[in-house]
Formats: sequence, C-alpha cells, structure tokens
Amino acid sequence: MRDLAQEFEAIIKKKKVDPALLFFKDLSHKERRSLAPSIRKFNTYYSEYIERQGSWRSRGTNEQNAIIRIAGFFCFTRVEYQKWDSNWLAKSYILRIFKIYIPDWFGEFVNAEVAKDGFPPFQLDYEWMMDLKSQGVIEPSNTLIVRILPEFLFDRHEIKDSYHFKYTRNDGKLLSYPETLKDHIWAFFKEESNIHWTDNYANQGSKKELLSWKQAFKNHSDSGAIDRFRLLKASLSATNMNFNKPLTSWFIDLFDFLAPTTAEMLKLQDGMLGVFNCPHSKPINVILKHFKKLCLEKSFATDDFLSNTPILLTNETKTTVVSTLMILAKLAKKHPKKTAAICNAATQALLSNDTAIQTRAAKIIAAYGDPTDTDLANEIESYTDMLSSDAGDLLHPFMRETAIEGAEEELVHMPATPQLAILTPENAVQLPKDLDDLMFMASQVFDHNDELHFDIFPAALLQFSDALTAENVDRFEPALQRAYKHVMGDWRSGIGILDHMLCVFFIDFTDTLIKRFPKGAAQLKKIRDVYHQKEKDNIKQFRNHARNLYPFRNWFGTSDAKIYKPFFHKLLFVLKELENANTLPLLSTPTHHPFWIDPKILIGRIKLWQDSDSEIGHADLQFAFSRTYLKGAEKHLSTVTTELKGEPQRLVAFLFDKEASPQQPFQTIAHWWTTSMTKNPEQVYPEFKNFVYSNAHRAIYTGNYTWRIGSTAFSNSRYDYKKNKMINFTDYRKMLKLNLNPKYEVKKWFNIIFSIKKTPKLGHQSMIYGDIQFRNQWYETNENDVKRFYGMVPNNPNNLLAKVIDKTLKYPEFSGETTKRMFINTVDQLLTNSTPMTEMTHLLMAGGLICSDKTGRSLSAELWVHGVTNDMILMPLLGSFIGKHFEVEFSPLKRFTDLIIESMIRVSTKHDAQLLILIKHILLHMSDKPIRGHGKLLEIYLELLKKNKQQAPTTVHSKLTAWNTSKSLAKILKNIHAL
Amino acid sequence: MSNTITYQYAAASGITKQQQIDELLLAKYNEVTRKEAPCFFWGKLTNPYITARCLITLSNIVQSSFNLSPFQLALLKDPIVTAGNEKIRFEGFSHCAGVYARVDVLPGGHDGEFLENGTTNVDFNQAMIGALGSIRKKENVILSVGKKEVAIHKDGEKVLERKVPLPTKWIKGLTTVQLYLSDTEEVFRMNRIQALQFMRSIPKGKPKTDYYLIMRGNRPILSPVKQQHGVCIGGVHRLRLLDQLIPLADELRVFAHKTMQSTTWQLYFGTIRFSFSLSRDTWRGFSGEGAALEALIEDVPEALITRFDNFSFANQEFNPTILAVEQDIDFKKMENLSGRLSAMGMLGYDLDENHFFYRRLPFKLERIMSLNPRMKGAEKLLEDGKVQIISKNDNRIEARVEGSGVQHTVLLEPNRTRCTCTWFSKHQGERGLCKHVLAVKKYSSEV
Repeated sequence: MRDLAQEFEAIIKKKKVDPALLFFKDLSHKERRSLAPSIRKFNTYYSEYIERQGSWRSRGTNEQNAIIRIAGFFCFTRVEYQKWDSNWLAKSYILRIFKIYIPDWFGEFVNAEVAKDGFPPFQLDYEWMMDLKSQGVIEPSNTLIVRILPEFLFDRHEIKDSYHFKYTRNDGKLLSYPETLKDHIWAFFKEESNIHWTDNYANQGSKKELLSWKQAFKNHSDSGAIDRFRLLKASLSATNMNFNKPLTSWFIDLFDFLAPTTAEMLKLQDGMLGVFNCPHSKPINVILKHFKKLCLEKSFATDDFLSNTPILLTNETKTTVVSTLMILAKLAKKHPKKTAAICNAATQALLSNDTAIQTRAAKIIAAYGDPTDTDLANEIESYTDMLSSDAGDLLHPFMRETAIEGAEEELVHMPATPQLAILTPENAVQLPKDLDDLMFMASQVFDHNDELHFDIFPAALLQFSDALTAENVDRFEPALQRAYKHVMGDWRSGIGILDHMLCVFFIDFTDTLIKRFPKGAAQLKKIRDVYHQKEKDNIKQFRNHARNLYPFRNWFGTSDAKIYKPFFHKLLFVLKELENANTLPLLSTPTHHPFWIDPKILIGRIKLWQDSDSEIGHADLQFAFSRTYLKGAEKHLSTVTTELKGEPQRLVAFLFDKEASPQQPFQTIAHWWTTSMTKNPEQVYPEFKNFVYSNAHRAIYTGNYTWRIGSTAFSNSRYDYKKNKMINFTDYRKMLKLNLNPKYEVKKWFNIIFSIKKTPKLGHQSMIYGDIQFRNQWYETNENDVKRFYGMVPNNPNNLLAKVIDKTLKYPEFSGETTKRMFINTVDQLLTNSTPMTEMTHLLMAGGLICSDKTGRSLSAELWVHGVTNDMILMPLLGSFIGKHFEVEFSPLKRFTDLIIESMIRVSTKHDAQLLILIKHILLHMSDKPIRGHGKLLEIYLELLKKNKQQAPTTVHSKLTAWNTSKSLAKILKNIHAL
Repeated sequence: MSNTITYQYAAASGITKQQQIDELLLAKYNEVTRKEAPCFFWGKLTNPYITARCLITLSNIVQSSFNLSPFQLALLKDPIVTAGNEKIRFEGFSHCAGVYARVDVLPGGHDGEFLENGTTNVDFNQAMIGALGSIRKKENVILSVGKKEVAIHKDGEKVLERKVPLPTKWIKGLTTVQLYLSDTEEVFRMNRIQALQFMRSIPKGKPKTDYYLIMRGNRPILSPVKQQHGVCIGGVHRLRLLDQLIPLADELRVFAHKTMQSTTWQLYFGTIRFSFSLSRDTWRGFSGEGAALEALIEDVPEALITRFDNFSFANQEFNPTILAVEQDIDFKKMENLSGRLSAMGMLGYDLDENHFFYRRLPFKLERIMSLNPRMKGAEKLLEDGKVQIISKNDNRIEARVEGSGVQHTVLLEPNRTRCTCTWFSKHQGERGLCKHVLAVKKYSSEV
C-alpha cells in the first residue's frame, strides 16, 4: 500500500512545485482526503520560526511552504480550508492549480472570506472573477463585487523610478461585461464599499472628478447605458444605508454631480424627503439646498416637508435649521392658506439657544402668523421662558400677558438648589452600631467606597475594641487579606494614598490582635505569614524590590507629601490608644456630612477625655477644631465654661466666639494657630507674635498667595532635519503662576532667635495649616485623596485650593488625567460647601469655568449656580479673575459662552442678575483688543441687559468704544449703545 | 452551545408598492419551531410614519454598541416581534447588552388581524430600513409579520441565511432587563419641548462620569453633580440614539430603578410607544447584573412552567397571584415564578400597565438557561461543603463561607443581606447577590 504521507514529504524536501502538482493530480478524492492530517503536521513543522544564521525565519523555504499550502487547497474541505490559518496562495499558483483541479467550494469560500474580513483572497480582481463566473466557478456576492469593482475602472501605469502609480479612468471597461452596468454597479448602493477612495487617485493638480467614479456614472448615464433616474434614486437611498460618513457624503455628492433637473427632483421627492433620516448632516443640507429652489414649484410636497420640520428644526447643525426656516419663509409667502401650519412648524426653532435663529423664526411668525390663532399662541407660550429678548419683542402680539408674568414668576421663585442645612438629623453621619457593622465595614474601607471611612473606621475600632474576643477576631480575616493585597500592589483606580495608609494602619492593628489573642487570631496570623513569606520571596527574587510591609510608624518615611502628616499622626495616636485599650471617642470624627462636627458634640467628647484624665491627641484635636461647624457655635459658650477646663476650654471658647481674643497661657501653639486659622485667617492676633509661625509669610497658612497670568518663556527643543541635530530654542506658553513661596518678612536674625526662645512649649508634631503641601513631582497622584484633604480644613480651604490650582489649572490644558480628576474631585467637594467662598475658591471657579474639560466646566457652572443661590460668591471678584484669563486669551472664549448658554443663563432671575454683573466685570478686565468669540459674549451681555432692563454702565462703554475698531462687532456694539 | 445563530429567512424583509399601498413584509425565523409558521399579523398601520421611524431607531439600537469594536457592529442581530392580544411589540438589544428598546404598537395603532400569535425574529436588512425612511404620514401601509401566503420552498432551494454571533450575554441581558423594568418607577414626565430641551443638554462626546437628571422649575437639567432626587444616568450619551424620535413624540416619561441600576425612557406617540432602557453604565450590560439570581435559588416545578408555557398566549398578562389561585399552587412557590420565567425568556414587562406579559423568546432554552457563573459558583460551594451555618433564628442567619484563603461571613437579616467578600464590599448588593450569599440562601432554603 502506498504511503502517501511519505511520498508527499519527499516532494516537500525536493522543493519543487511542479512535481507536487503532478502528485496531487494523480490522486483520487479519497486519497487526497487521507492526506489532510499529514498536511497539518507538515505545515506546523515547516512554518515554525527558527533562528538560522542570526535571523529568524520559517523552517521551510518559500517553495516548501507553498507546496504545503497547495496541498491544503487540494485536500481540504471548504470548512477545513477556511479554518486553516495558512489558506492563502498567490494568484500564480491558483492559476496553475486550476488547470488540474477546481474545488467545488471555491466560490463559496471566496464569498465567505470577503464577508468575514472584507478582503478578497488570492488577489482576486474583477476580470478574473468574471472569467471564473463565466466558467461557473463562482457566483459573486454583492460584498465581493463592491470590494473589487472599484479598481476595475482604472488603468494603472507604473511611474519610472518610483513606487507610485499613475491612474487613468477607462469608462469603456465597464462595457466589457454586460452584467457590470446591468447588475453589478447597483451593489454599490446596497453594500458598504470603498468606492469613494478612488477619488484620491487623482494626481496632484488634477481635478478629483476626472478620476472619480462619479464621472463614469455620469458619462454612462448620459449615454443611456445606465438608467439615470434609477441612478439618482439609488444615490438618495444610499444615504440611509448606514454607510460610514465619507461614503454617505460621497453618494449625496454623486446626486449633486449628476445635476438633477427640477422635473427629476419633483419626481424624486419621496427619496429626497427620506434623506432627512440620515444620521449625518451633509446629505440633509444638500437636499435642503435643492428644496430652497424646489419649494417654489407647484407640485412641491409642502405637507410632507412640514411633517419633517420637527426633525429638521431641532437638528443641532445651525445650517440645517437656518435652511429649513428659509424654506418655511418661502412657503409661507407662496401658500397663504397654509400659513397657520407653517407658523406652527416655525415655532419649533424657538427652542434654539441661538438668538439669531430665534429671531429668524420669530420674524416668520410675526409676518405670517395670526395673533388671534389660539393654537399658535399656545404653542408660542410653551417657549416663553426660553425666548431671547428680540424674539420676545417680535412675538409679543401673540403672547397673553398672564403667560409672560407666569414665566417671570417662575424664574423668581424657583430655587436653583435647596438651601444647605448642616446640623440636621438627616445629615448626620451614621456610625457602626455593633460589632457586625464594624466587621462588614472593615471589609470595604480600603476600597474607598466612602470618604468618611478614613475617619469612621479608626473611631469604630476604638469604640468596639473591648468587644473583640478570641471568638470573633478572626472575622477580620477578609479585611486583613484585602489590606495585605492593597499594600502588596493590588492597586485599582479610585484608591488614594490615604487608603494605603489605612491598610498599613490596620495591618499593624491586627498584629496587636494576634499578640492579644494567640489562639483566636490564628487565621489572621496565617494570612500575615502568607504575605510576609511573599514579601521575603519578592526581596529574594528582585534585588531592587521596595519593601511593601513595614510597621505603621515607618509609613511617613516611605511617602510622600507633607499634607499626609496630620493624617499619619492621627492614626499613630489611634494605634497607641488601641494598645492602651482606650475606648474614648475620637474628637475629630465628623458628626455631619460632609466633614462637619457639631460644636455641642465636640464639647461632650473633650469632656470625656478630660474626665478620664487622658491625654488628647494633638492631631486629633486640630482636626476636630478645624472641622467644627462654627455657624451658631457661640450659643454653646456657657457649656464650654461649665463643662471644660484648662487649655482646651480656652481654645474652644476662642474658637466658638467670633470676637474673642486668645487667652494665655499658651501651651500648645499648634492648637492655637490652627484655631485662629479656622476661625478667622485674616485676623492677626498680637498675642501670637512670638509664635514661630509668625516668622513666616502669613500667606503660607492663609493661602492668600499673589498670582499672575501671562506668557512665560521656557526652553524647548526640536529636531532640525536639514542640520540633522536637535536645536534648542526659547518658546512661550500661557501660564497661571501662583507665588507659593512668598519671601519671609524682613526680620533680623537675632529677633528670630529671640522669638524662638520666647516661643511657648511647642508640644506638637505638626500644625495642619502648615502641612498643606504637595510634592512638586508631576507624577504625584493624590487626586483620590483631595476630598479627604478638604475634609481636614472645611472652614478654611483657601491654602489647599491654592495648591490644587497650582497643580491643575496652571496651563490652559490639564496636564493629564490625574490632574483633571483632581480638579473634578475638588469642585465636586466644594459643591457640598456652605460657607462663603474664599479668594482661592473664586480663582478655582474662574479657571474651572473655562477649563479644557467638559465635565470640569459643567461642575464649575454648577458650583456657580450653587454659590449664587446661597450668596456665597463675590461676583466682581470672580468676573475680574475670568477677565484676567481672557485678557491673555488663556482659553477660547467660546468654551465660556457655550457654557453660559447651556448651564448658567435663565436659571432664575437672581442668577440672571448675577450673571450680568459677572459679565460686566469680565468685560472690564479684558484687553482693548477683541479676541475670537467676543461677539457672542457681547450678545449674551446685550440679552441680559435687556432682560434686566438695564443699560451698559459708562465704565463698560469706554471698553465698547475701544472694541469698535472691529467690523464684525460693530452691529452688536451699536445695539448695546442704543439701549 | 454555539455562540452563533444562523437566521434562516424564506425571503428578505422589504417594502413593496402595489396600487398606492406599501406592504411592509417582515420575514421571520424562530430557531425553536424552525418550520415556516403562518403569518402572525396582517393589516394596516394607522400611523405608518411614526411606526417606521420607531423601527428605524430600533434598528439603530440593535446595531449600536458602546463597548465593542466597530467590526462587531457590522454584525446585526435581528429584533424580535411578539404579536397577539391586539398588540405588536418589537424588541431589540444593543450588542453590548446595555441598551434595550421596545416598540409597542397598541390597539388602535393597527387595523388588521392577528392570524396567529407568537414571538419570532424578524429580518431587519439595511435596504428595508432605508426604505422605511421614505414612508410618509398619510401613506397606506400594510404590515405583514410573516408571509400571508406561504411560498412553497423546494428542497435544496436557498433561503436567506445570515450568521451572527449571539453570545449568551445578549440573551441573558434580554431576560434580565425585564426584572429591572418590573422594579422601576416613574420619576418625571416631560412634554415635547421639555424632552427636546433635555436632549440638547446631553453633553457631547462620551462622558465617563454619571449625570443626574433633575427638574429645575419646568426645565430638565442634566448635571454631573450628584443630586438627591435626581435620576442617575451612566453613559448618558447613549440617549443620543433617541435623537430622531424625540422631536416627534408627544411625551417622554422617565422611569428609574429603585436603586438607580437602570433607567427607562418611554416615548409616547398616541397608539405607539417606544421604550428605551439603559443599564447602569456603558461597561455594564444588563447581562452581568444579578437581578435574576435570587429568583433562581428556589426551584419551581417544571410541570408548572410547562403548564404555563402551554396555556399562555403572546402578550397575555401574567399575574402570579391569579395563576396560584387557579392552579391551586402554594403562594410561596409563586413568589419566584415571575423571576424564573423571565430568566427563561418567557416574560416581558409592560411599564405602563405594570405587569408582566407572556412572550417566549425565539431561542433554544439551552441558550437562555446557560448557567449563570455566580449561581454555578454558589452550587460549587455547596457541593464542596464550604458553607457553615453559625447561627440561625427567625430573623437572622449567620454563616461562614470558605473563600480563597479566607472565611467570609454572611449575614442574612430581614431586608438586609451582607457578605465580607470583595464583590459584595464593592457593590453593596447593587449588582445582585454574591455567590457566598446565594450559597447560604440556597443552603438554608434546602435545610
């Protein structure tokens, strides 16, 4: 019996294709099928990449691999061949094989391959396909046709000494096969193709149309070879075939290129109206362009056009709305009997934010509408509160007085956001009630599910520490495993550095539990041992491995910015108290959202510590003071006197009483300084003149840094291809620069030394307002901690916000995703704020309203709305900050005007009045040279002036006069002057 | 089970014009019954313009995907039609299993006869969708779900075949969404102008953050700021799929799931209704949510399901209480029946009428019931004896379940369930129960 596999292997080794073809020619179908497994085996062997003479290549030669692929073609079934990853063969081989054998599955295979990935196999071209079709080998699918037919139109000529080709169009080729024009070209209108790419074959300088298929279509339709009407109809319907945008545009261009006559278009109205469903704007606008002329024809389908106006007039493309309104105006003029329907349709454009569009629509209604038509009046009434003043004036005859008053009323009484109430039961922070709550909280605290977990969890550990027994400590198992996983590097987005700190703290705490309950905490010990072993393995394996496991007291050494210091000291204190089995409540645990402490509860907590004669934690006390909700705190002063004693009593009395001066003696100056910064950062207390903090510039604590905005030079480099080297040059960029290191006030050295000597006992590890410092590294990622930072100083976040601005809003664009997130999280947190905004909050909001991120802008606008509602913003200050940004064109003005229209205007009458003040101050601080988008800002200003029934003040007039040099602004400036 | 479905239609769907009447023929295919069933519905559409536009939007949704590659978009999965009880419902689901849509042609929206009732796939080819766009307002359009006069196909004659991937998640999403709908309540109503204002306020691009819908006075506002009474919408840009429909609608009603895990947007056009449901976020399809898991814990007698399947007709209201009384079945067993039947693809949910309705998805049951990984995980835990009940009284069950390297604590209390595992800690039960809780629940119900 023949060993076919052996014979085949011998042929492979000969590396000759012809003997292989002869070999397969002589085999029966059964014999060929029996070879299939061997072919796969040989293919695996010969196609394997191996290193030979220093380079990697397949084990088999080109001929050997070709022989194997030819064998597959002979011996495999269609399904096998389709699944085979070596199923490609050069056309030359296929032609040679076809002389011997044509598999009956060939056509099916080709169609399936094209359907799968869009590429015809075997370099199949149209001529070859038609040849195969005539032989009955293939019945081409539409997908195959549209893939290979585009190339057929062109003759390709090689360009001497170039890899490029020159193409010429050859319309005659389309007549070579009757099927081409009769059937195949119509496939283009049903299946997505690349026919539009061939427009790019035009060589430089020549017109695209000369080489485009469009010209071929036109020529053949002119000659009668293609049904012109069918072609026009098909090009219209192709716009609704869900093709990609360029291809869809190409088909509407084809329609245009064929220059349809008015008579033809009137016949094609169904198809043209159908184009309005197209998801792209270009085809719609092309049809509207034709309709502008067509609408004057008698047989124009006016009713059908009107039924499409809801889609057209609510389109976000301005051209579409304007064209539709133009057609409506023409129709109204031509069909007096249909004016009611036309005016009704036109009302839909009143929804537009664009005052020009509103005015255009209002003009149509004013000209053709019937003021007594109640349907029309009702329709207009529903738009009353969104009408521009111009449109409102034009439509006044159509509006009933009650409707106008109603709209005003609504704006007046509409609260933008609910007034903030802080110390209410609904706003109270929920603390764990029992050990079960603590256990389930422990398993989620490291996931950053809640900003308050960082405070509540350590507080709850203290609270329930005496409830922990040998029987229940093992329930901390999942939490401990999570903590270890986090510190060993199982990081995920949304986790902050403070979460890492909490993990290390918890691991340290469980170490004490293991010591306390050697038997009960066996499972905890097991987990600890597993991860400590892993750490050892890592150290052994990677020489530079940074240690992940260390005692909590070493945490601050491993990280990071100074701002983490107070948090670290607080947790260090908690650890110590846990070891001491102290169950007294921490002072700094927030009682009300977001981070506030009820002053009454604070007094109670301090009293408990004083009664038990326990030493209060320095960081804990500073956090507590800094978080106390001071509005109305003075009413608890009498309790302070009766319940508290010593320095804490004097501190609390100083904090709660707005007018109070600090009472000596001062033992812990950090507490006194924190209290003064919380209560009133602007007030300088002479009693503190000997504190070391007084030797530094006050801005370091208050955050009132000076800042400037403008162009800054920096050194840049680029590669010069001519000189073949890097060239250094001076470049400029726009920058918002805060002076975060203000110079020390001039003091003589001996005075400083003297003051340190005179300084009361320091007694502190850190003072939180002095610790608000980030690292300068650009890669620092504390965006997920920023809300907790804010929670450290909710009464006076000015210094923190200055640092956030420096990190995030320094340049016109955010430097990366982390800075963007940091900014967004900060604004998100500020939205929970209920105290008057500081200077840096104004600067942050100013930068945010024009920042490069849409979410950042929307949030800033929400912050503005929130601030106006609660009277927290100084509008002239905010306006001057934004104006200074636009003075140097720090970011495009359009960003801001779009934001006003989307989120800031027409919120309420109060907001509109404040917006007017804001814009006034922006204009006053802008440069005398108008910038791009200036007109739109002035339009909004004019609109607000009209709404508020005001005139531009003289200070603004002088600015307006300066801008009058710009022709494009002349009209709007005239309108403002004319008020 | 293959992840590919091969639709086999006797002919392509399309619109044919005969004597001023357009006939919209929807070719149908059901992989369960397979053989050419008679026509489900044949009759006039009273509002063909709106119906056509709703169907175009439905096809856009079926073709859309918010987390897959553009190549996968090309593989269109066909919508499903349920005809019966005087209603025709077209359902579809996006590729990513995060957007669900349904067009309900209600009584009055059609004038014809329901020759048969049932559920089927219908061919939605692009040429037909394109032709739908040219249907005008006052046109006469006949809808035919399946061919009235069945053409005789000779053996070996080609039918229209289209292979598309049909991953389990697509069907699972289609079944899970019904449970979300049943747990959803109306929050806002908007007239056409408010709806348009709302659509205009949708931010451009693909925002990653959640947006909250609130009403400020009469004006709908979309804000990235978390609002107490706002409707939370993740992947808000998906609403742009409604761009073409909203200008035509009379009213938009917004429904939200009680824990904001999904939102439903219902557009009203007289006798036609368009429902559009969004999952919690673009990367979270309905399929991954564990809404049906609890219903699968307790077994429902097969006989009951078969009886229900045999005696119900398409679009019939499903009322578990009445069924329990009629069939004399314990109410307790009926509790999970709607969840169970929904998970089996036998029920849809009508938000306006506030009830489930019968419709059997035209897919093989083995496709639909392919095992839920979390349920499978729970069963494995029980099989391996990893569940240990620590204490049990009427109101509280505490259990330890062995996890990977740790013992998790599961606590079942009235109205509250907790577990210490990562999944539960992260989602706090919002995305269905974890396998540990499922295992404890199953174990305690069996004991």
